[in-house]
Amino acid sequence: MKKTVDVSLPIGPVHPCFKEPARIKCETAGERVLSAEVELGYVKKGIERIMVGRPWQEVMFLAERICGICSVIHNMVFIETVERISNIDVPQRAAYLRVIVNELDRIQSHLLANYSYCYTIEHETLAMYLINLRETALDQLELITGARITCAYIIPGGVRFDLKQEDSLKLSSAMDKIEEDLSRFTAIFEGGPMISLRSKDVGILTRDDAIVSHAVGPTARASGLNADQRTNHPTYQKLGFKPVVMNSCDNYARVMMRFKEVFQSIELIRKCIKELPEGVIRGGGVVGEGEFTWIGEAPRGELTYHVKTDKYGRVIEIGIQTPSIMNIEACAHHMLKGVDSAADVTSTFISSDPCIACNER
Amino acid sequence: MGIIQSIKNKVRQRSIHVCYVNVGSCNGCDIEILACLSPRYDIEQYGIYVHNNPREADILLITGAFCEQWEDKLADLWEMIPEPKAAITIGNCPVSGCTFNRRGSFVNPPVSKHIPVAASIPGCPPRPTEIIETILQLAPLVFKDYEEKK
Amino acid sequence: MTEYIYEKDLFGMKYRIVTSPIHDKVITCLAECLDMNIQDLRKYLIENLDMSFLENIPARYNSWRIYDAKSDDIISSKLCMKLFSEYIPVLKDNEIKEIREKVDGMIKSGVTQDMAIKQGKEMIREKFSKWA
Repeated sequence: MKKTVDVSLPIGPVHPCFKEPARIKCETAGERVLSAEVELGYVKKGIERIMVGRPWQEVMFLAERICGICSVIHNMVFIETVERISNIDVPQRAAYLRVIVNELDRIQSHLLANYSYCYTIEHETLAMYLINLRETALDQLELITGARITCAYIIPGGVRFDLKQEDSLKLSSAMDKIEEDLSRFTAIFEGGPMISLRSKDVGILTRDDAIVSHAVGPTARASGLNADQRTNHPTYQKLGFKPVVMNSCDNYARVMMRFKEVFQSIELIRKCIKELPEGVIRGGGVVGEGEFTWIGEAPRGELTYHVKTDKYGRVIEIGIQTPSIMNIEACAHHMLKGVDSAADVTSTFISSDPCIACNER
Repeated sequence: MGIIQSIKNKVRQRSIHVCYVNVGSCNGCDIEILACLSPRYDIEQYGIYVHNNPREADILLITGAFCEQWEDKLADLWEMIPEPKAAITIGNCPVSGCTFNRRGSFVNPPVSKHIPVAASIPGCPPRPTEIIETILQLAPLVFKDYEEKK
Repeated sequence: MTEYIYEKDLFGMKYRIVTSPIHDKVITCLAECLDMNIQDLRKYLIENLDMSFLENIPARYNSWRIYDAKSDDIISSKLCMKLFSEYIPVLKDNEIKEIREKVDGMIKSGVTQDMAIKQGKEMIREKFSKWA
């Protein structure tokens, strides 16, 4: 490829900074990265293959197990696709409860992503604060759905459990706690001189590159692209959702973006609790034959499910496009290029919030 | 048992270095290990230190249903860990492959086929408290009188 | 790419990526667009792109489609020039430019546009089969 290479530097698959196995192969001159490749295949399970031919009741749980961090949204998008295939209506109360659970999931996912970033740049204090705050969000998720990670809360035509009055009070007070603590932590992040040295102007993803590589989610929004699939979702439209966009394109912007989105999610949950309509939570319906493509906004970006079912509700064709695919690729080929040191390679990679389990399925 | 041995046993119980490796899980178990680090569970108060470097580790935590790329790498990783060592699998996947062990998938469970496993924690995913408890129960058994066993 | 220690043959794993349902649709589209054998195209892509890139082919193809709908350069869009030079960079810029110049030359010398595009596709296929 290039002849100016001093060192070829493989990072991974087992690395202290990575939550998951991936191998970044960098070509460096000195410590400056000239180009990078990502080698995958460490968690390729072939979920799409084993989904085919199974009834939706099974595929629903398999879909949830594509990714353990953003399991709620995988469940939600798959179920919403099935609902659109079979014209099943969702009761209003259930639609609002879905938004609450989805936003709680987004809060914990973003806090985890920022924890990983702070841990990677060796700011362990802030990292520990953030992962402890994440437990508060997980508690609420457990309170509503009954499980911490794999909730299987959303089902065709509604949700499994209702939100009781006392639970919604607990949820509100947890939101107050997260908002109060997080505004403190955000101030630490904004004000830390070491943090801005490690984060500002590192790992630039320009707007044009973001368009070419089809970056999505916080990664794209930190590069000035107004891309958020929540604006196409009927319930979010009712809640008057507007995406946050930043323009500085670097690691700092991506992490700040996630902090801002957590505040936004808190507002959305509060609004949902306030406007929560009365009524049933399960409408019922029969899953039938059809084909549909539906896109939802996962914590990491847009998540596409293309599902085709037969008349018994069995999935006969399924294609899943997860947000990490685009973000990891954008990171490997655009952000990592020109990064100044090997330490910045890991921090830049983590700042794009890579989820290898999503990526490979 | 000599005095030195009993001191060694004492010390080893209070200093357990852990490395975790994901051999094809959905991330659910991995983030539960990360949750153990949080001040709420505070894994370090028991002397367990998670740092993910196999060459310093005593205990290897394994999550996932074993994918193709790990065929040779996991055995290498196991070789790298100095004695005394033990492997703990977390979640259903390393035990049976859980939902992924179907015809047409690329996984090759159980993990015990590839390296010796000392304990398994079932659950999809298990709670952080269960992970901590297993490590704490297993470590003294494995490391007790290690030199004399040899 | 430079040689690495512990390097493993990734062909089988890469093949799994390009035969997953969404990839299959996109690569079939591309192969039809160039009138070429789908296995040859897959092989070329596998040999030239890394794993994360292969995963991202459908998304990049979509963003090219959005770009393509806006541009009014028929020859470029029929030959997927921007796609292969920028969005899925398997051909070098100068190679693409060379093909473009040849096609433009043919049209100037009186060959019909369809014929010239056919010739252009032939040239791109040649480039792909050179390494296959």
